Amino acid sequence: MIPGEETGASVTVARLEDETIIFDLKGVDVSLANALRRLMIADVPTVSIDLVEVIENSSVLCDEFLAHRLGLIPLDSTKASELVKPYEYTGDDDTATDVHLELNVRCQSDQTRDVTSDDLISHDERVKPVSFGGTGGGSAKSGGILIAKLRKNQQLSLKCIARKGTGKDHAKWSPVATAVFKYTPLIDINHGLLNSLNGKSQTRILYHNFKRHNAGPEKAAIVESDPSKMFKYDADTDTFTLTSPESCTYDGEVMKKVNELGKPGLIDVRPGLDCFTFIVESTGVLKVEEVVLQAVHILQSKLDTIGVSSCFDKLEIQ
Amino acid sequence: MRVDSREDDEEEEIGQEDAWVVISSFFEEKGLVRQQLDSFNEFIQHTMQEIVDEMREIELTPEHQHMPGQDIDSMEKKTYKISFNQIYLSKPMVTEADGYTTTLFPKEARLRNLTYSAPLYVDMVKEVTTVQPDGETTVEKEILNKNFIGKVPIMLRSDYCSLHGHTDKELTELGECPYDEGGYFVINGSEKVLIAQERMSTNHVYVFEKKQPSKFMWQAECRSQPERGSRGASSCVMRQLHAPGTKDAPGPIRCTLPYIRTDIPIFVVFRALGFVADKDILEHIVYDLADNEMMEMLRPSIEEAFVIQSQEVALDFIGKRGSAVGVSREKRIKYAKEILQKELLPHVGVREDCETKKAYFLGYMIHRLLLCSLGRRPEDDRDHYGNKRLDLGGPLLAQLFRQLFRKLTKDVRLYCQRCIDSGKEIQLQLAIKAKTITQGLKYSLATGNWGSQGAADIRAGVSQVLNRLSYSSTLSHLRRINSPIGREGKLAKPRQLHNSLWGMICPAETPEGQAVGLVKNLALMALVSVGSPSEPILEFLDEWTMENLEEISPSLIAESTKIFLNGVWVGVHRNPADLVRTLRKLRRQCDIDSSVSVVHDIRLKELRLYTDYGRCTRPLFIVEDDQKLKIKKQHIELLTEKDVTGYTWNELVTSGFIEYVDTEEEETTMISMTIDDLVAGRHAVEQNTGVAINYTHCEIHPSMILGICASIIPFPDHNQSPRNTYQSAMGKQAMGMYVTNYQIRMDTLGYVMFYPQKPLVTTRAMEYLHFRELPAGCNAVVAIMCYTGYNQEDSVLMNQSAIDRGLFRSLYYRSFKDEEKKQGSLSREEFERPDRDTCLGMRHGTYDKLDDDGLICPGTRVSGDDIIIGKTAPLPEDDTAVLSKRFSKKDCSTGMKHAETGIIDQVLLTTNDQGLRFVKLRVRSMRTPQVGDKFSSRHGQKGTVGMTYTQEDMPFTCEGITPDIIVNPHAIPSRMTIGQLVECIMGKVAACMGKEGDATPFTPVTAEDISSMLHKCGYQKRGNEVMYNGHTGRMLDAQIFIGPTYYQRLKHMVDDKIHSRGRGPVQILTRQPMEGRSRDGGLRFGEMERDCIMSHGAASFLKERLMDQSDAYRIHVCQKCGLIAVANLKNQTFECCKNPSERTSVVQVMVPYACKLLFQELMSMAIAPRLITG
Repeated sequence: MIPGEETGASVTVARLEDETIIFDLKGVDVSLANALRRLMIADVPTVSIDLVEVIENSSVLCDEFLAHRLGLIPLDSTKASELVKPYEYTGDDDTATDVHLELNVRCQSDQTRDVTSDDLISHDERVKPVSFGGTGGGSAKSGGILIAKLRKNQQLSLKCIARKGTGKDHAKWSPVATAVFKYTPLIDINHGLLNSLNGKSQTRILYHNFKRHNAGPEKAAIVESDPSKMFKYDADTDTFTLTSPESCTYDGEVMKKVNELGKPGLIDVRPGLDCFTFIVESTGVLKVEEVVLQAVHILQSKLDTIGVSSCFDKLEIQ
Repeated sequence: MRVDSREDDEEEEIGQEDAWVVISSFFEEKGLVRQQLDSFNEFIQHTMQEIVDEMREIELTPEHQHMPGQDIDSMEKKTYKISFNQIYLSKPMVTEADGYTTTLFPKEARLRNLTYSAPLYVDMVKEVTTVQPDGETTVEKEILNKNFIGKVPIMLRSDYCSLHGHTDKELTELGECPYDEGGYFVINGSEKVLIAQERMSTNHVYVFEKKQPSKFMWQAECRSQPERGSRGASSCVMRQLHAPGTKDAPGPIRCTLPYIRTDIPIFVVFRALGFVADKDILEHIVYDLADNEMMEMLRPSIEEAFVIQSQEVALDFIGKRGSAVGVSREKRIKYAKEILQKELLPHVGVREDCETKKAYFLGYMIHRLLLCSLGRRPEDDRDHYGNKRLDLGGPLLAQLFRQLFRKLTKDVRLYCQRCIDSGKEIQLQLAIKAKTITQGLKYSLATGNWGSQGAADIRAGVSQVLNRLSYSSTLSHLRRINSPIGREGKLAKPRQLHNSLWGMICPAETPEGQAVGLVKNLALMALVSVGSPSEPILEFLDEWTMENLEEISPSLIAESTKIFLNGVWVGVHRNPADLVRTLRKLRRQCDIDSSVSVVHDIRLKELRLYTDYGRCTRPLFIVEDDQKLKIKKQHIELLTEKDVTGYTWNELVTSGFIEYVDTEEEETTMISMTIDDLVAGRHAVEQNTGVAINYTHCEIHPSMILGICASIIPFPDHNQSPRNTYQSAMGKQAMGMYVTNYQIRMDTLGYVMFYPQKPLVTTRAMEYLHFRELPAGCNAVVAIMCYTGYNQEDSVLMNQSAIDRGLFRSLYYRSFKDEEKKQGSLSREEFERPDRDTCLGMRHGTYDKLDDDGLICPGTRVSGDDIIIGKTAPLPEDDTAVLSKRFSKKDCSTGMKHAETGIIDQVLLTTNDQGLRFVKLRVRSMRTPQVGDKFSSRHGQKGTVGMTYTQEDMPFTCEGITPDIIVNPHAIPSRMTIGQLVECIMGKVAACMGKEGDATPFTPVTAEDISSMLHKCGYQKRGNEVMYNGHTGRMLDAQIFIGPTYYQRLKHMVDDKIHSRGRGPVQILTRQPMEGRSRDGGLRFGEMERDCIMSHGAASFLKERLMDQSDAYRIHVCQKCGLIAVANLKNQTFECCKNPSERTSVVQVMVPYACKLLFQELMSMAIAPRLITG
């Protein structure tokens, strides 16, 4: 039985942008959360250039080099479902598996000509190179992804075949830059102990470097000790608050500091065991929510094949 | 001037940061191969002419043939004189087979396997003096200008190179890498470096204690070699014997003279030199006659020479022990005199009037010996670098050129003699065999055998093929030093790091194994002196009231300072301090050559001056008497604005802010390590808190003690020292970009990485090594953790997704070459596609990939034993065999290496210098990292890939970072490579802040500083992070140390090593399996494996391994004689033991073929190995 089956999982989307999603997944076991993460990285199908036929290449980069670069160019994979993976297809019709793209560039001017993904011409409506020109956050001048640079009279002429695949086979088919989750933290502050802390400035000798060292107010020192900056201390009002629990990294620095100050238990940071914060960044080939949804579907269908029902059947999305 | 307006700045001191401006200007002016270029330029500009001038003119008189009826006296007498004068060197040229001559550029030389050399011309004068029988003399003078005498290989980027003075852009257009600094030669298309050869310095007096089994107690030696001329060093040794019958009492001192068989008592030598009276002699040795101890030491020597009391007798005594036997007394005396004049200490002088000087020098040697013998001074240090000299390209070529030029003149002489003897007119153009020099220089540079072909004292490995694996390996190779001491020598001393190597030789970079410590590398700022004439110094000394040895009374020596110039005692001076001060001042103004070293040895009362070549020197800041640097802030400003001011390193030297100090002079200086030390020392004195230290110099930066390879290591000062040595060796195997013009070069082997990165954590020295421009590695995210167990025992886990995205992806280039060789005068080989019908000895591989011209097309995929260059050689017509009817040609094609695959990258068809068609072909293959490939950090932490995991399987941090590489924590504690940990933290800071981290050694940066910066960046300050298991998603119990670390991909890859064999080729002689992967050889079942199986008692297995699976062979043995019988298996007849009536039984035995071979070899030398069969 899958844990969380009775309760059912719930998803709360904290932030959704074109390429980034942050959401909380509640009510599932870590194994399921991890399965979802792994599926997003390795099992969501996308389309990438898989075969390159070089007709003319007088650039400084060799054919293999170009082929590798072309493979990594993100192609819009929203219609990937219309394609079949080559090894799952037995028919003769190439159009079911292959998408043809072409690249023909010759540098005529004295200036270096940048060949970018915008120069890739697709003959198929289904798949096109991801355009960073408009809405996306691309910063390149021309918007496209640089493939090669050409000098005067150098020429590139290539025929590419894009195919459907998954991140398991090659990282170029992975739809996400990263998909990661962490346990949502449970942070307790013992206010009784907190009030016993010194807020005012004090000096003391730190023995490790024998320098007189301004340790500062102890509360500020706690804030200072935490590299992830979860807490805030306002010296004027002497208020110590937890401001950003989401940045918690469980590095234990705060607890170490608290122990050092002789107040163990002042702050307790624990991972919550059935709640996970996911951060998923898409490479642009798919909308990020699409990646998540497809991953959920894949997970469900995988569970179906082994005959287990999952908590995702009753998934609530908020 | 601008400076005047800012009075305050005038005296402002410089800081450590300003020192880097100075260092930058040094490298901008000098580059990294300056010693090679300087040395070669000196050879071309001066040494070559000196060698030609040194050669005496050729004088010839005709040997008269006997002609009946002719009176010799009545004939005119002719003498011929031929002399060589001015030499001229042209730009590098190539003469094609058709005689067409053009200027040559290195790119063409490399591609067409030509030699990058320039023709050398010489002016010659022929003088014919005719004396008529009546006494009338006529002189005919013929001047022949610019005769071609040979071609001299030219060092790239030297003053005579075609690339000299070109801008980077022009260099690129000429097909050169603008980062390539030259310093090597191109011989037959291959790049050759001359490795600096270390030797003991000549004309130096060394005193050594002899260890017990020796007859002698102490020994003082001096290998004497004149400054000019070609004579080999003549050695003079003084030895103090044990007193007869004792073990520790000093006995008489004797001296070894050249060509004299036995050692001569020193007093006899003095008397032979004309110093007869005991007192005279003693004055030359002891200086202070009141020194009773020393006088007493000489008593046995006086007594030993008591019988010989005059110069004549002494000379005769020496002459008797010479090589000539049975000659008259007069001749013996003359012979002895000659030896004393010409052969004894020739560096002091070889003229007749040098006896006094020689006597003083001999006395000095004995004095030094006695000082040691009396325990007043320790013995000399053989390994002190001040006693070492480096022979670089220039002197090495000079040595060779001298030999060859002498041979050339000898040949000219022979030819001319033959001409005039036969009464023909001398034609000098025909007399000169230009090939002597051309081929001689080429031979030595091509093979590395220094010395003419077949000569006795050849040194091997002087010239080596320039290493082009990575850019830093090239640079390091150009700065290598070899000590020609036997590698087998067990003596550890010469291999150890000596104090005097500081700043001259890299303390980390040396190979491991047999050559450890013998092969060294120059430190970054070390230069090697090229030598300057000693005459100006001598003139200066004469002006500055030096008293000549001939003019002083020996009693004066005790209270004055002896002055040695290049080891020659030239005089004494009574006020050395003043003299030294003036000398230094003049040198700092460059009135005296700045490479002259001034060593004032106060204890020995000596002033030693050196102008010779081969001394290691390095620049140092000069500290003035007020303990402040002479260089001020304003000069740094001038340097930084050098585009406007034109102020360069050279100005710093000529203005006396910086001087070059050699190893010996360094012993007389007080050098502060940093500028801060100087300031601190000054303050300590001002505030009376410390002892006054009188610094004379200041290091420019202590990190400059490192060499090329060690300068790439970040934080080497945090590592255990052998790790730096390991990294120095591994950096040379790292892939990256070895030159920028690799696409237009045809290197036999080349590795180029797709995406090399400049390191996040750098050292300041990298700027000068162009490591950012031509890097050799990647900034990989490295986690130090145990994960799945596939990274044990120095293996690493690698992120497959990162590999997919191009991490450490690289290209491997391999070039093949072939040419249509001439066979005899008529036929020559031909590139074509061989045909099985007409061609003999065709191979298994496919010939289908060849075009009609016999060459393969670029872009073709090749593998295995594919033929890539088709070539045939015509078979001789007269072959009577049946074969020749069918076959007219033999196959001479070139195939791929059988384990390699790739794509034909480029095919170059051209002609070589003999006009023969010549092809070079390059194959490329892409290498993605895979399990078994070798990687290394920059801290001697190498490892192979044990497993690759895709991104989802890798552990991840809360930010979603997955490591590219996971190394096992067990690699750290025992190796103590703390530098790697610090690099990792600094890498993390650098990545967060978007800046390069500075990891230069000997800077005040601490790990604590970096940690606090990391803390500010929002990470745990020690670089640890909470990570999650990629397989399960669980949080890992321990925090993981993770961060970007620069990793190198090393050239050792499994694809080049993987090998297995079932059956396969065997050796012809022994029928045992071949050895080595390239021949598809077997894997050796060696002694240790044998021992193991023996101890198991697995006899059958052992037999199977050693015989059945190797070289089992069936022989038939006669049971009567035990020898191998003649067996005809077809007829089942067996013969042995001559008498056919006696039917002998023959048995069949299986033996290893090697065993059968041994038996037959034994039989061939009349030993009968009989097999007794049961």
